[in-house]
Amino acid sequence: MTTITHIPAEPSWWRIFSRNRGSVVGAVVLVVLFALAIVAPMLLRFEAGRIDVGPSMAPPSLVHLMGTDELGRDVFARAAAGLSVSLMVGFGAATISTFLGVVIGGLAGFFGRSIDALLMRLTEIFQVIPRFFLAVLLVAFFGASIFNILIAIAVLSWPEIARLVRGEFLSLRSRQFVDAARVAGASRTSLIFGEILPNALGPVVVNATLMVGQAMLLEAGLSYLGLGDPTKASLGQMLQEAQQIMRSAWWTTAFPGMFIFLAVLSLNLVGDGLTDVLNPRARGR
Amino acid sequence: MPTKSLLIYVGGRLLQAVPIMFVIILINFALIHAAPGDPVDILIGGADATPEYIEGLRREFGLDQPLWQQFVTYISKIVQFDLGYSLRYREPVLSLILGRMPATLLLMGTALFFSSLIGILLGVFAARRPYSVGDYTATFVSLAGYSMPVFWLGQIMLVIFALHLAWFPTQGMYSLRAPSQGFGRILDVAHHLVLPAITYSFYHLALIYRLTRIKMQEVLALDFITTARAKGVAEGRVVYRHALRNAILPVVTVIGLNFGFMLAGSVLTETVFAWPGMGRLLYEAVGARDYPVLMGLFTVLSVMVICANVITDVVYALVDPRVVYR
Amino acid sequence: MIARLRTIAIASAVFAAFSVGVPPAEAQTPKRGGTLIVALENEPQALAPHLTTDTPTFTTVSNVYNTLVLLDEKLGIIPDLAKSWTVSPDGLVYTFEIVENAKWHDGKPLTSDDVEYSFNELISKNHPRAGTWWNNVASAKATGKYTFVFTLKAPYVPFLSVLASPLASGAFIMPKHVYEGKDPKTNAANQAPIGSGPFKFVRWQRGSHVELVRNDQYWKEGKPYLDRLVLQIMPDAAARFLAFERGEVDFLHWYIVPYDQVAKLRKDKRFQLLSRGDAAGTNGLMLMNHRHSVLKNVKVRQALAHAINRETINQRALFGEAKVARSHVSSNVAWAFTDEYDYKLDPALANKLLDEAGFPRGADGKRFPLRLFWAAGRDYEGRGAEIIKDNLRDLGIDVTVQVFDRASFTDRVFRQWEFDLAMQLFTTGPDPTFAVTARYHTKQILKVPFVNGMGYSNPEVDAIFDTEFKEADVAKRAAMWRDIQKILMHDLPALPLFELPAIHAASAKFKDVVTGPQGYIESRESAYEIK
Repeated sequence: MTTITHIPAEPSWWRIFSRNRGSVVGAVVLVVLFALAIVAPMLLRFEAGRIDVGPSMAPPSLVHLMGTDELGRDVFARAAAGLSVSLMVGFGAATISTFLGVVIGGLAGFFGRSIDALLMRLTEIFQVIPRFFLAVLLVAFFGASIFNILIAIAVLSWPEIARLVRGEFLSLRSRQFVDAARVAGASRTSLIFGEILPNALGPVVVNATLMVGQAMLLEAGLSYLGLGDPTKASLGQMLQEAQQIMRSAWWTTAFPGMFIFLAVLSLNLVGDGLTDVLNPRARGR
Repeated sequence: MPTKSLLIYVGGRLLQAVPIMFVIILINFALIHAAPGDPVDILIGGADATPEYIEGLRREFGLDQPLWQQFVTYISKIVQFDLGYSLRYREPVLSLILGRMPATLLLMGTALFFSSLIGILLGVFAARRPYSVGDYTATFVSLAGYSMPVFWLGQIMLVIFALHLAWFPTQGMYSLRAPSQGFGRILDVAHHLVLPAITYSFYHLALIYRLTRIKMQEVLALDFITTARAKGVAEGRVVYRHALRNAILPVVTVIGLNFGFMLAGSVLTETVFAWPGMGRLLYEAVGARDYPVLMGLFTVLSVMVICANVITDVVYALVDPRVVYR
Repeated sequence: MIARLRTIAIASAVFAAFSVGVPPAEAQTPKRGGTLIVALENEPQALAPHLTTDTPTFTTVSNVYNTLVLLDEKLGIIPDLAKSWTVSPDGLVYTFEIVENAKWHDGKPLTSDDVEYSFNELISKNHPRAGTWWNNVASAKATGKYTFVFTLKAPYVPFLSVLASPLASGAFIMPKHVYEGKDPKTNAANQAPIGSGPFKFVRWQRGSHVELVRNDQYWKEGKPYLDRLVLQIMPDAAARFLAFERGEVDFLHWYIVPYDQVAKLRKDKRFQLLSRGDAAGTNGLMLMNHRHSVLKNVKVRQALAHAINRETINQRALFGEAKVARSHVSSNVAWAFTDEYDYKLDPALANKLLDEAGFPRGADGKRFPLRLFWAAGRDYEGRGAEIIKDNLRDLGIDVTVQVFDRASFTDRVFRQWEFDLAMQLFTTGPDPTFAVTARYHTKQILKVPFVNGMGYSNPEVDAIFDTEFKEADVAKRAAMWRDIQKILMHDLPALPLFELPAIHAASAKFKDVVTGPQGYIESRESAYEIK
């Protein structure tokens, strides 16, 4: 396929990605965390929400690898379950907001003129409203279910992607290869999905990766303000519950915190690697 | 640069903002009033008040009026810079917000300044030696704080630096046991500012670092840098005079855009450190369904963000003479 | 028990005689000086007690204003501004003699005119709870410069307790000359109060703290001892406790003491735990919606009472610092309390009751689902909810726990009545008439917060509610309250879970920070620093 920044003898994307060792480490950690989130609930001896599976606030031991909390719940089992909730919120919110951003930005960039003006005003409005405040409002007002939290984060995160996609569309739609396809009689749909979108996707993917981490942190922030969902305890919710007892039982806060830290850090490192792959200009000399 | 065209440009931008502000106020109004929960319930607290008393309060605050009428009243007052009266505090909203603004601006300004400075320096440092130990270290340093939930980071900082090392106080903005005056008071506030400012900086630091690193790498690969190097210009001069000047423009934009997010992010930091700023005012207002304060804060914050964006554009133009006002 | 009843009878049915509450003898005589820093969990709403029931407001203004009377440790009535009082034999006329040396902070003398104005113009017309007790009052009049008379429409035995509980009545005495002729809702003194109390208002730094200084002209001889009293706003529970451990703040009141740390504090010489009675008698309850198709069956409610392990809730959710609540009146309201009608933990009986009620287990072992709501903010309620969910799972009941922010919770439970089970704190003291009756009387089924949102109605208990407060004989009245508890515990409009512990935490550098049963809303006039 023709790419706009065509460089002869392009090295494989993995070669570029793996040049950044941080990104490789990040990718490995991420895979491990994913495996943990999916597999652990099946393998672990203890059910995540069940109380009194062990003594109250027991330190880490061979039986309870990460100790137990004040209700005698197994911290490892809860943290693994919490990790899957947090990852779900992160990826769910990033997917939805990326979708919204691509649609809105794409429409604005492709059609231009009044549609562009209208959609960009909308984007501007959403950018001006302080986002975290609005998330607090939405979740406080409509109930702290994990679904509401996910939607609130998604609805508030699309404007950046929309701007990004619009920019790419604006510059791409007048490129030669698009003109060529247009002259060849390609429909609008095939122009958008066949020609322009694939070429605009690079920065979008990078942005989406970073957004996953951001959404996980945002969810944790909401949990701290008492707006988390206790039926589906995320890592942030665990941190919120543990803060009262963090001094008497450090393991109740250290392990869930470490999971978030590792997840967000590795998502960002992977994002850096993807930037290198997808943005040839920024590649190291 | 012609001052006149600049003025016209700024004026135009501000004019454009008026309809946007109107829509924002409308959206906020609708959202806030659609929420379940009655401010009157919160106002009477844990008490079992009589229905008559509750009706009386509702009349007093105009909550018995139809929604559209409440909105019209609100808009007509905003035009006169009257943001209404807080239901919870029974004080004018504007004075409540202005009373909390300095603390937030101080915290945010400090965090923004240091995180931008350190982010740019680290970014330049890393871009000059990609994939080296130095690069990885810089990346890790800038990302580590960002990757933790703000409140958790704050609480950990408190345990380490306030409780165990006892270097910094834990709560508030002043020492209340023995208040100091004059210069001592400035030092006292600065002492209280350190931990919240560091906690607050990380989000911004990660962003600035990443952007600077990428842009510097891009610029350092450009022809004119190669030329400059070939001409024998000293490396430090190449990096800081030529490359950084070109790489910093997008960074300036991001600093400006981030202003709004930073304001909003302040609620977590301010709560952990009991910092008396606007973020906490907002959170309290959500809890109390204090409609006028919520509306007022959203309006004021939106105006501040719009202004920050205009200022960013102007700074951008001053730094980069190629920009033409449209 | 009888001996105990008698002492309390003497204390609460004070007629002419009274005794000044003497603090326990101390080795050291109080010295002047020092600054006490008190933690507030939230910014006060306003420094205007006639407008609100907000706790931080009362924690603050109780140092600036006085009441007519106060409660002692045993919930008996002791003097504050009223140096003595008499009650007519028919229980209708209360005559108060006001101290003659009290002055407002601006130097003007405090007289019975101020008392009359406070009750007639400020409290009765503005305080959220005025409607619950003021309708007993026929008139409130100053009959002499220092004499003040309340005339009631009918006997109302808890009347003095109401006056001594500002959180329930707003009954602080406020300056007529400051409030007269201005809107009491927007008066500048609502933010900068001018009182008669032990401390004078200096400044309210928004979001940060309220600063008070010693009133050198205080009318109580020698008091107060502290130079300054600062109330600092600290919203984050974990950070607040760090500040306490570091000695940045000296006092945490009972609602913000972290229960998991109490055992540790008890051993630490730098701190002290204080408890001087409990006027609030706060019970943690699980409300049950009587409109629910399953919960309206009394056997189901009783089954839940047999199945929920309240001792585990005490041990795990409150770290063993609370007591299991065994009735709808707290054991701290000792004259009225009885644990005779409590439920035993008996899961087998619970299963049997549910079968009898017509809710057998399905093929999957499940009977029916229920939703349990709680409001964010009190972590022990959340842990309690998790324990209840776990207990009821064994009973074949699928419980979904949901948390809301407090405003949404209140809306759902008390206005929409849209809940099955809900975690809620209810006070039961200092007198159950104005604390308990309001929750369970049929006429209190109103779409109003913190009343009978459960939709519970039993004419039998209503009849006792309507007459008990006229009974001046304490033993007879206690018997009536035992009957009330018998019915409530049988019907279970709510299941009492735990009695919130009345423990305050203070730095060991201070003495007498708490001297009475209202702990968090009493003045610090007796507190002093150990030099």
